[in-house]
Formats: sequence, structure tokens, C-alpha cells
Amino acid sequence: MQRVKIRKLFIDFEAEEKWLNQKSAQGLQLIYYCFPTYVFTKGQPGEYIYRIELLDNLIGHPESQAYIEFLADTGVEFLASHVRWAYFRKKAVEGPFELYSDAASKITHYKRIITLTGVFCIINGFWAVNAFTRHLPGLTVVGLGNLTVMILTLSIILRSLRKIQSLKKEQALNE
Amino acid sequence: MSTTNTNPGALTEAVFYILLSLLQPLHGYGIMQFVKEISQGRVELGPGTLYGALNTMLERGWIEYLPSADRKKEYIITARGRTVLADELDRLRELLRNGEELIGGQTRAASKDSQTLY
Repeated sequence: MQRVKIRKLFIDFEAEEKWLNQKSAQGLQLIYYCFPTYVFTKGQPGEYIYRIELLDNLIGHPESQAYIEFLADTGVEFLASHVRWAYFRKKAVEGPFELYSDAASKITHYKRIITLTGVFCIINGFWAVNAFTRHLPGLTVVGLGNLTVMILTLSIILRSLRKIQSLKKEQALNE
Repeated sequence: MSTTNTNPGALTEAVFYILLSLLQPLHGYGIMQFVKEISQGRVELGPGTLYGALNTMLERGWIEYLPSADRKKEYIITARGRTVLADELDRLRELLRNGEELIGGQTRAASKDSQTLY
């Protein structure tokens, strides 16, 4: 089976998921991921639907293992993990694939994302300030890098908060 | 109507249908299929949502694990779960009764001399 390896970095998991599904539409099906390399095989366009989820615990944790096993029973294939991030796919012929079908569970997931992203945002903010106040030429570049990450993570947090707000509005009327 | 109120509020559609499906032992996939069929495709449970709901119901003692022949875990409703279902049916009957009394037989194609209610 022909394999294609692509190295790419993502900060935004929704952009990452979109990219994986775009690749699938092009005929490249993700079969494995080990930071920062994505491994694809050449298959039917749109054969699989891909989803990325942030779990509560690390992959090895019994809770995560129980969840992955449960998902497997419903036809969801676990491909790879990166810390608490899990990569799943399901055959498109079996129908639409969404892990969460109601507002409450979607909100819980977004809150988890915000917490993790928040940590990275604050750390990078701290490093940026640290780099800029040292007045060393090399560090200024690093500091700009940190600032960039901080801004990107902040935009992810804001977007997630907006999504939570609209989901809560939905909850006010329907469940 | 039961005297003890094991659940103060309304159940979500998903939870109601999950409890209904577990009047018989089922595993994850079985529950998803059952709910999809009984709702004629209207209610489709996401596996992540289902997993969370099952864990909450397990915590509250509305359902329990059942040892099954194959490795897959099966779930089944408990006595408390049945009470919750019965209470929920009472609540739904109340809603239905009041709704039909006030709107009655009026369907979406409302009568010509009255405004459509929605």
C-alpha cells in the first residue's frame, strides 16, 4: 500500500480536522500520526470521515481505554494519539460521523479545549514577556514566536467561547 | 404517579430513548441503532455523547452493567431507572394532555379563520 508522509504543525485542532477531511476527499486517508508527521495511504476519495477529540486523560489511562473500546464497538476506529489528543475515523458509507450530538457534550468538549489552550496561551505570554525584557538580540526573535503562539491560542479560545455561547442559546430553547 | 421523585426535571430526548432501549440488555452500538430506528432516524446519538450519558446514568444507578457472552459490555435498566421512566411518561402525558386540550385537532394547515400558531 502506497504511503504518503506529510509533516505539518497545527495549533488549531478544528483546522487540523478540516485538513484531514480535505485530504480524505482528495483520496489520502490518514492511518497514523506521530508528531509532527501524518501518514496517509492512497484510497477512495471521501472513504473515511475524520474527527479529533481532546480526552480528559492521557491515552494510556483506563478511562481513555474504556472510551476507545466503546467507540470501536460503534464502528469508530482509533488511529493515533498525541498526549490527550485522539484521532478517530469512521467509514463514510456508514453515515455521518459526529462524536457529539447534543449541546451539553459539545460544550464540555469546548471547555476542555479552552482550559488546555489557556495554559499554552499563558505560558507563551510569560515567555514572550521574559524574552522581551532581557534585551538580548536572539531572544527578541524567540519572543516574537511566543507572542504569535499566544495570539493564535487566544483566537482559538475566543472562538470556542463564542461557540459555547451560541450552544447555550440553543439550549435555552431546545435540548 | 410515584411518590418519590428520583429526577426533578425533564429528561432529554436522548436520555429518555436510551433508558427505553435498555429495557433489554444492549451494548453501545445496539443502543444507537435502537434509538435511530424507534425515532425513525430523527434522533441520532453521537457515540461520545452516548458514552457520557451512559456514565452519568450508571453513577445515578438508573442503569447497570451486565456480564455478557462476548467481551463487549452490555447495559440494562435498573428498578430506579424504570421509576424515572415512569415519572417521565407521566410528565409527558401532562404536556400532551394540555397541548391537545388547547390546540386540539388543529394541524399545521390551520383553519381559515384563525392565525397559525407557529
